[in-house]
Amino acid sequence: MSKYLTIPLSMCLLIVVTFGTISAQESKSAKDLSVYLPDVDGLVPDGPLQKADDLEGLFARINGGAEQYVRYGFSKALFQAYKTAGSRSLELEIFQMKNSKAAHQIYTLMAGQGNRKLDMGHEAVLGEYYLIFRKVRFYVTITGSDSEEKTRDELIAVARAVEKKIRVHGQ
Amino acid sequence: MKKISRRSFLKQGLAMSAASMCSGGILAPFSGTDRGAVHAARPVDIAIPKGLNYFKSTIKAVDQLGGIRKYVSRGSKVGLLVNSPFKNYGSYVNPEITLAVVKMCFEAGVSEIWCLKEPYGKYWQRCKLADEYTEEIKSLKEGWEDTVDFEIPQAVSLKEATVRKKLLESDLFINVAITKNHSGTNFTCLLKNMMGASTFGTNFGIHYGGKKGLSWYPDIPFLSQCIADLNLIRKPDLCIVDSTEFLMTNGPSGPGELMKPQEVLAGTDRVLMDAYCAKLLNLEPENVLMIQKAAAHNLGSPDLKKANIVTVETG
Repeated sequence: MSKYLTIPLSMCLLIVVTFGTISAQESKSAKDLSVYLPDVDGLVPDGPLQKADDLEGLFARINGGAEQYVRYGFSKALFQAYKTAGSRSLELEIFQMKNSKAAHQIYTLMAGQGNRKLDMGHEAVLGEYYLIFRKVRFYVTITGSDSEEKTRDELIAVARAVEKKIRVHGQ
Repeated sequence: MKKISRRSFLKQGLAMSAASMCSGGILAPFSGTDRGAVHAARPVDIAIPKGLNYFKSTIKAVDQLGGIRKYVSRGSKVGLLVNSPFKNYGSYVNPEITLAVVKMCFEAGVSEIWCLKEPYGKYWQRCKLADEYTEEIKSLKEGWEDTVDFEIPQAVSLKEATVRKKLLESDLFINVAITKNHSGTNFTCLLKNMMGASTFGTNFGIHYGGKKGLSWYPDIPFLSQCIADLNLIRKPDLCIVDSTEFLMTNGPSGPGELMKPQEVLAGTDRVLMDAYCAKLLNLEPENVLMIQKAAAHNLGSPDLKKANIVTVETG
């Protein structure tokens, strides 16, 4: 009897554990965008993590232009400043839009025509001092304080780390 | 928020205006410069040094107008409105330009400089010269807390605004703006920077009010009219514009693509200066509503052909 029950019970346990883990991850990602914060050697937060879980929070944190996010379908956002290993300043912003279409629309508006396209997420560009990418319903900007080559290298490294987290948690 | 009555404010405002004119305006000495200003027969309307040293360019620009002492008198109190609350490159006035203005003012003997808008927290950290001028930066006073309701009888749309009290109490008002793209009006510079002197509540109504009622899509004619109306409150005694490196897309906050004319402007006619800067963004002044509406209020002239604009390469 136990021989016949072992496999089904194991399957059930596996399903429960698997779906339980996914559910827990989804639940966490639904509540907290901080699961997408990057892990990069030498990258340390420079100031408090800031969140916008509603329109009031969004307008408080974006001085001018917040209405663009609302127009396309804003859900929530996270803002974190960093110091890099090279002592440069970076600003990370992760926006969770209502759906992929909304994220694509805000990305298209902000990406511009003259920037270099990157193979990252669903679409990405590297500007003179910033990087923008879109992955599913997440729109991400990483901004440096100068246009040096090393800064752009760091923008790419941080963006790849965020994209990796979104791949794990966000889909 | 501390408020004073409108009646007492207006009374006080008239007194302030008179004091301002006497201390730093029309009665101030003209021969303030000893740095080799341009002695053209015709007064300079806009001075525009062009070069990579923005600190020196700013001083040069003011010198070309006749020097800071033409505008500032010893012991006066300055209200300084700088577009500095933004965090992305090309969206805020380069702090070296602001620092040059502050340095000139203190050298001319002003007693206090009140910042009318709270800067982004890391604004001064981005200034390469900050270590050389720590005392000057520390001396800047926070002038954005106290506000007052102000009636604007000549206004077309914005009949009342809540503004920084120090805007009205200062002997001298200096507007320091950056040229850049704006998602609503396509353009922002000196005229729109005046919204830095009004409160979030007033600005929210300006941005999202209008004939359409509250909306996420700004009513541009209404917004432009309100900007012109807001500029009726007080004329800047001196205007500085950062047109060195600025957003030509995704303004006002960015990040976005940059344009780099490397120019710093100094002048007193905000309408004329905005007209010049609009052209940098390939906009015709006659197509920028806020410029037209400000001109209709007789706040200045957008006619660049009649203006004496002096440009100089500073290297």
